[in-house]
Amino acid sequence: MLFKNLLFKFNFKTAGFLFLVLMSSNVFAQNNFLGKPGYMTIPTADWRDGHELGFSYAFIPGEYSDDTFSPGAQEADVDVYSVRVALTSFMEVNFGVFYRSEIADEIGVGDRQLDFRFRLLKESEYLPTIVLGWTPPGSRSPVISHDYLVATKNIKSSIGKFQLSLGYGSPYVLVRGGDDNNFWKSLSFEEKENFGNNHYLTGVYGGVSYEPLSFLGASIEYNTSTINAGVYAKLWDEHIMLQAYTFEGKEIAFNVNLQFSLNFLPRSLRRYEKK
Amino acid sequence: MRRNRTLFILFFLISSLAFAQELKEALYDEGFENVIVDDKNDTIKIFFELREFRSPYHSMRFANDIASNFLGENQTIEWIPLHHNVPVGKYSSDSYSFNTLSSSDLEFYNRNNKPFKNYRWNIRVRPFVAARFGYYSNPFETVFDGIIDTRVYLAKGLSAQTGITIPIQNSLNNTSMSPRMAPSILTYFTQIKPGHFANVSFGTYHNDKYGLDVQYRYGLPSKNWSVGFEAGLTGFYYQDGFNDITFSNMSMIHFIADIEYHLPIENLNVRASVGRFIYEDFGGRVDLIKQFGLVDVGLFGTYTQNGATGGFQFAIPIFPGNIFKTKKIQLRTTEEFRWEYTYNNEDRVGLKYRIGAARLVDVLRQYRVDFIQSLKE
Repeated sequence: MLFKNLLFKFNFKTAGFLFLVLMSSNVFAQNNFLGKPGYMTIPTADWRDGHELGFSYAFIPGEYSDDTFSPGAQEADVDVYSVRVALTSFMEVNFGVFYRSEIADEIGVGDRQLDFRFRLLKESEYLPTIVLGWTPPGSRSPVISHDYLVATKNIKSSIGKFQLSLGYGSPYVLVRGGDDNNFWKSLSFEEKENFGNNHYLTGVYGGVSYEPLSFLGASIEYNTSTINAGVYAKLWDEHIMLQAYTFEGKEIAFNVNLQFSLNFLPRSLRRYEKK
Repeated sequence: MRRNRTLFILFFLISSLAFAQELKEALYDEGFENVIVDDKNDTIKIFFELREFRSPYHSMRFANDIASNFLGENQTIEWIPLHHNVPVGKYSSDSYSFNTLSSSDLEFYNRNNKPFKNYRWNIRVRPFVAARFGYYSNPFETVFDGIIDTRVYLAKGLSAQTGITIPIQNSLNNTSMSPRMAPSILTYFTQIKPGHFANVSFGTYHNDKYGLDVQYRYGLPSKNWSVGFEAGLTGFYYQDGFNDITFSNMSMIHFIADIEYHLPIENLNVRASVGRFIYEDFGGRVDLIKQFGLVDVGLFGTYTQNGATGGFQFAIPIFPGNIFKTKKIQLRTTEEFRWEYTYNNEDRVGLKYRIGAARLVDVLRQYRVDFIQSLKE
């Protein structure tokens, strides 16, 4: 049943965006469960120009749903749908919906998350890319909020490509109180550990990714809550990324990503110029 | 000698007329409408409207591609794109630099503009989507309609838009699932003086609203600043099929003034609006809008008497564009589908209704010279 459900979702997404994918330019991609450049659950500072739009679906097993977010909540499988847009060469925005079908009648559509990535430093020969991730305040239950600073460095070698990432996630989160008429006054800083015992991205985190082949890679990461490892494949001129991984070697999770450029021409014009 | 000269002038006039006619026909065959060529001076001026594309850059690039088969190497054209049958301004074909229209340009256009004869019967297919998250019993509440509509020009700048709505899915509200009349409006668009644009509509809109809608905007396409307002006197209406339509009193007034600045960074625009929104809540909204070319993506935050919210919007053309066209008729998908996501659910914070056509500010943003020139690079 689960497999059928996932297969349907995958087919739907693939068919729906097929025409856009066909227009897109070549891209490189490894994205985390939120659809952002990252390994499995951690965000990295990887930045890829020329593919401004990304769609992503991720499956998180119920056993680990409270280790990444919604701590304290009922354990239930999570379907994460997200869309990512690079608004400029230094700013990206990401929107995700965290749907838990098993408990939808209790929590509705689930949590929604809008956050930003800002590139503070471009990668050079010796220096890494540095990215600041920020979740705007406004949620009364910011269980998925994360604010972080991360550095990522790519290293080419004769046996393949390596990517190293090291980051720091803020242990504090801004929570909105109940008073809508005093939005700013209703905000307060709370320690993530005290807000539902959330340990995800609270402190120093990091990971390594290794690509021995141009279409195949493996990575290992520590997200301040769990240690995870997995493999990923890049298909169809790297427009599609498939990733399967394990939380602490106990449960399997996976994610699928589509990415493409927003810089394309209307179909009639493209056809005329091809003539 | 005199006879030779007369013959030469005659030959020149005939060949230039033939050139103009051939180019006009070539443009019309590719979907351009109301193509009017003014080749009396050194620079050829060509007025045109292309409803299939939402950005004049793509229209002018397409026109340049077509015209390159007819022009000599050093010949340039001034393209004069039209919006709703009204010329916006002159753009040079090589650098896309902008010039306002002279009174003689407008006189020439007014003499040759033929709202009926020079246009196809343009039929547009577009979706209407409304969605809401958050209810436990039904987490995704959506309305999905297919709309087939058309806009017919009646006189310069005056047009009528109507069509049918075919409901496909509705789990959001109690709107009838019978086919019904799509938003139907009478619109007058004009450029009062260079850079002063006004759009007045009367009719039925989306979001169950009907009434008078007035939009005014000042901003030359060559400048990065523009200011404007949107105002309206509206009421609600409810349709059940084609026959049963109920109207409430037209008694709600909204008025929103705004200023927009095109930042010198990667086609980003910042827009600040203040006023009384359609549910009569006073407040403000700040938008950040990125123009990618064919696609716009924006983020916004709103703060009014009814609360605070934020979200995003995007505008995309619907694939494939042209479906078929003949000399008299074109069937196409919409040049612009716009959708806005708001974080909160039912709170009526800073809401607007959708007219069924692009808003003035969203149209004129596409004409900015900086934006057009950046796409050329």
